Amino acid sequence: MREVMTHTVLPDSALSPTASAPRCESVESRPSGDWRLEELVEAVRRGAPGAAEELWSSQARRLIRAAVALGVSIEEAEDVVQETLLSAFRSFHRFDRSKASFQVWTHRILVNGTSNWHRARRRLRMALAQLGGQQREASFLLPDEVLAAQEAKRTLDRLTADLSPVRRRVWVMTQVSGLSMRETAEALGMREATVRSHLRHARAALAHAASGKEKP
Amino acid sequence: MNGQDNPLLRAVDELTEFVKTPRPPHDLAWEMKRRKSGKKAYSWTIAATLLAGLALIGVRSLRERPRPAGTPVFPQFVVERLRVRGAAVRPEVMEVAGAGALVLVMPPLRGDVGPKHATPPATALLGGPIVLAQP
Repeated sequence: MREVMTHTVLPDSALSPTASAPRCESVESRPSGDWRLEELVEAVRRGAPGAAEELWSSQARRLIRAAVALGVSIEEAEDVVQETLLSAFRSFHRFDRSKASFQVWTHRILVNGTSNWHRARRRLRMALAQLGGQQREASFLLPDEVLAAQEAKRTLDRLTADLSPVRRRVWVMTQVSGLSMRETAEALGMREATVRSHLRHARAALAHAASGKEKP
Repeated sequence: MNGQDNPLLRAVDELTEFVKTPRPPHDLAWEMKRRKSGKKAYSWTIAATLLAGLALIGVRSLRERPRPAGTPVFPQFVVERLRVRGAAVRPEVMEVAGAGALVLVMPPLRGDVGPKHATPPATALLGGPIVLAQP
């Protein structure tokens, strides 16, 4: 069951090569479930029974979507998100609501987790290359699902091939996770103006990739 | 609104569909509490490790303390001088290879050797496990 996400979507026109200046106001809107999230966080802090589990469930799907968009394989996205949430809950006592929202906080942990994942992946690939082997994903999908997943993965890789890791993160935070510019800046530890700049470049790169033209 | 009209978001959505949602662990609340007191437990662990380390160093330094020259490593098995039937003897220990035994030979001292002392050297067989000290 797909969870209804609160993110704003980049329209096709924005992906076209002639797309004008980024419409930053579209990503400034706060997710509608924020007040609920705040209540949940407060309940967890009070130690209300079941609140931690509910908070976990409310964030898991959103983080999976972000992890997949950040390039984590579908075989390992579940593990990466589980580690992210476990890490967040274990250090919940250090979470300061006045500095960042829970969502921003978990996204910050997720970004670190995916960076580690990519690093470990690179090392594994290098080690396998030296040994003359190759990596095989442990597939748990049905044959027709494998084809669909491979096709979607190819599309994702093709469109994001020219995105730098930083711009990809900015794009994922704002467009996939629906964080505002300010929240994205907090999550990635950069200035808001820098986020805007990265997003503008990311949109241009994605539009170029979507148009199917060769890179000049 | 969803990503159906955006190829990239559509790909992300399709891939996300294949990923199972991780369930919260049954002991999530316990994990949080455990982590809360983690710093305290961590300090205790460090203190206990330090104490154990110090104790180990103490024991080792006692065992391996410098000995005066000539002090045997296994003093309980070293006999320096015996008196047998009123005569001082200097015992010698010989290993019986493969027998797991030592022979303690106690020849009389030089001053006790002579026609009047026709007593053969006393010997004793020491049984049991043999641990020979390194010279």
